[in-house]
Amino acid sequence: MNKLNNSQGLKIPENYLVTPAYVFFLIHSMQVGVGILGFEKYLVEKAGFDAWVAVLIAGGILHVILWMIYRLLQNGGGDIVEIHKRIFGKYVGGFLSLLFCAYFTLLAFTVLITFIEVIKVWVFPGLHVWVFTFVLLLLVYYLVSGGFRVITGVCLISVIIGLPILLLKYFPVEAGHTMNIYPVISHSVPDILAATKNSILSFIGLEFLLIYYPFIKDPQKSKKWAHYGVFYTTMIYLISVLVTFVYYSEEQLKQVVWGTISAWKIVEFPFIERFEFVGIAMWLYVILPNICLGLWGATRIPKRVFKVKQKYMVILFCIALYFPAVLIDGRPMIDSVNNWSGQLGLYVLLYIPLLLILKTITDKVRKRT
Amino acid sequence: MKKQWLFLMMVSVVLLNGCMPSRSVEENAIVQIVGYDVGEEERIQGTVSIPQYGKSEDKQAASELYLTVEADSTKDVEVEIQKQSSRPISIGKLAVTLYSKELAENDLADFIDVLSRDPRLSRNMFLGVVEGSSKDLIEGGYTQDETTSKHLQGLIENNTLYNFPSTSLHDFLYAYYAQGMDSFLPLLKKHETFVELSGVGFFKRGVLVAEIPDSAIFTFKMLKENFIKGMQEIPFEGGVIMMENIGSNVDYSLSGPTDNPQFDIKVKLKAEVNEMSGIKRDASPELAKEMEEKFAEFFNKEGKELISLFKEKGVDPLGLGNFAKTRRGDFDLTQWRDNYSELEVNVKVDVEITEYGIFS
Repeated sequence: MNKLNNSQGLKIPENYLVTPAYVFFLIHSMQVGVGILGFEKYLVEKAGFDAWVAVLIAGGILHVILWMIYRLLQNGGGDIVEIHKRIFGKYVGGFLSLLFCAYFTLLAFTVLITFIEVIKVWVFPGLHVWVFTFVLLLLVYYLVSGGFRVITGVCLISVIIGLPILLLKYFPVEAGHTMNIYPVISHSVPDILAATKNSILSFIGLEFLLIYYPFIKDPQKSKKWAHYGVFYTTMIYLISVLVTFVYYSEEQLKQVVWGTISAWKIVEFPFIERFEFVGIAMWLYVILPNICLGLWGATRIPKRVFKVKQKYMVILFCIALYFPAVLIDGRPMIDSVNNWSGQLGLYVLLYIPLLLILKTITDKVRKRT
Repeated sequence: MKKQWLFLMMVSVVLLNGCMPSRSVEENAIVQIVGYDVGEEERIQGTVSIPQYGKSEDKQAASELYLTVEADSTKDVEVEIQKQSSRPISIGKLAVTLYSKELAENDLADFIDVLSRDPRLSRNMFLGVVEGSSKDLIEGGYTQDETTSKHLQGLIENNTLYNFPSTSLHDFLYAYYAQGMDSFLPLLKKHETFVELSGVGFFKRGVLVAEIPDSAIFTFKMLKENFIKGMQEIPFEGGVIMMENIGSNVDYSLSGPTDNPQFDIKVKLKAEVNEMSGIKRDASPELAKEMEEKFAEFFNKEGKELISLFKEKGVDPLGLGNFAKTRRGDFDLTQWRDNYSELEVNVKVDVEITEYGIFS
């Protein structure tokens, strides 16, 4: 028997697995994070009010990438670490896997600092960041050390808690100008593609499938749920974009930093004057799985590469996240971190087709020998 | 052992919340209205009114404290007022902001920037331009059982249900930043014992450049948005008729090439007539027909006048440019601005009288 053709690879005990339907929540909750609070601005800068087309194109591209990820993992023998090892060998493959680890950490870090910034600007200008970050990371540590199934649960909760916030979209639409979304495309194809790129930056998150794939029971059945998840995310982004387009004028939106939060301001109830407080508080649950899954993915890679205990890695990474998160300050810094992680995310997405090609070639070559 | 620790943690999380320093409503100076005037030596004068919630049961009168300060900027006004206040200022419930006409004719751009930046301000806040001094208007003390801010807020809000077009901070900012659209604000005027909504002021960027009296507000609203209430007095054969709107629908359409477009504004108005004074004729279907024609003629004329005023002053409160931008891919703002004064706008109002009251 040829040992290399053995597609068994990594095997996770049954009691750590999740059912295929949960992939929907895993994919969706990881895609929706802090990006959706202010991504409209970056789209409008490139393609004006035609940017909704860009969101649809980006959604389509993501479906293709998701299909590629599944192709990659189907007989890859487990996760990205295993695939890297098989294609590039132990050392180069291990190094590439560690790059993924850095990328996942950066994602968790970006979400963390951006959300702290939101709290500082909108709710508590005098927030003691070191206390808040400490408490938040303690919670994250607790959840991540609970294992993958706990994180899946957090994802499920976050999607459910995020649902009522969608109802708030009614208020800005009511106050809005629907003629803004009259479908006349006045921007050139390069403009729309630039906006597509910008919207992909806020769509990233489905590449975590590369690392939690072995934890899915019956992975083939999860395919459709993953696609539903991406579709659902695209729809939510599309709705958000359309609502902000209706609510703001084009030039105005270019100057609004957090389009979605600013739109919550129009919501007014007799008992609460500033409804965005409620929105931001609820949003903590939406970003929690982002940080948890990010950290879990980041710590799982060293575990797989170096065979160390994940628990120690989680503690180490929490400490590593804590100090920069406390020290970083100011919009320009946070903006550039967001840009880096977005750019990196784009490269990761571009890397996936490349990896798929390489894998197909190596598989063919090995079969022949 | 572990369970006990967990229990202790849970209990302390709940109980420690009580240790947060809290501040009750009476201990805050809640600013609900602020007015700005031109001060001395290029400074601005800010006036606020702070409702006094007494500890006694006496709820007869709403007492207010008026503070007026001179400052260099909007934020500076807050600082200066803080110096005069015995309690911390909180502006989260600010409901009305007023500017004196003198200030508005100068430029409001700096104020507007602060308004769009400050996360504490409600987007449903009302802005207004005061004919005269906003200090006098705030210190007027109009009703016994309402604070001035509640009174003015109610005044504007109520009027937006009738003749006045909808206005709020968000609407203002929307038009202020939009391409091919200019903003407008209500004009307020203080009389001896009351405040009146006396007209609409039109802005070009942050500068007040034109205004219309309250008799033309109905026509402006009719051209701007759909609405279901409001009244207009129309002269008819020597007398006047009160026309009550029960449903008005406006529709813009754009035709012709982009460099020389033509606008058609079609209004369908359903009306009810309840009062005719000084008209010596009996109600009949023929009279109704005549009235409908007369009304349409009246509104067409008024509408044309409004639009020629807008063109003359170079303002576009109806957002015709913005409309053209959404319909035409090759819309060019500078070209639009250059052509605006010669733009062809046709107003066509169609009036249908459906009701005459319950007495024939």
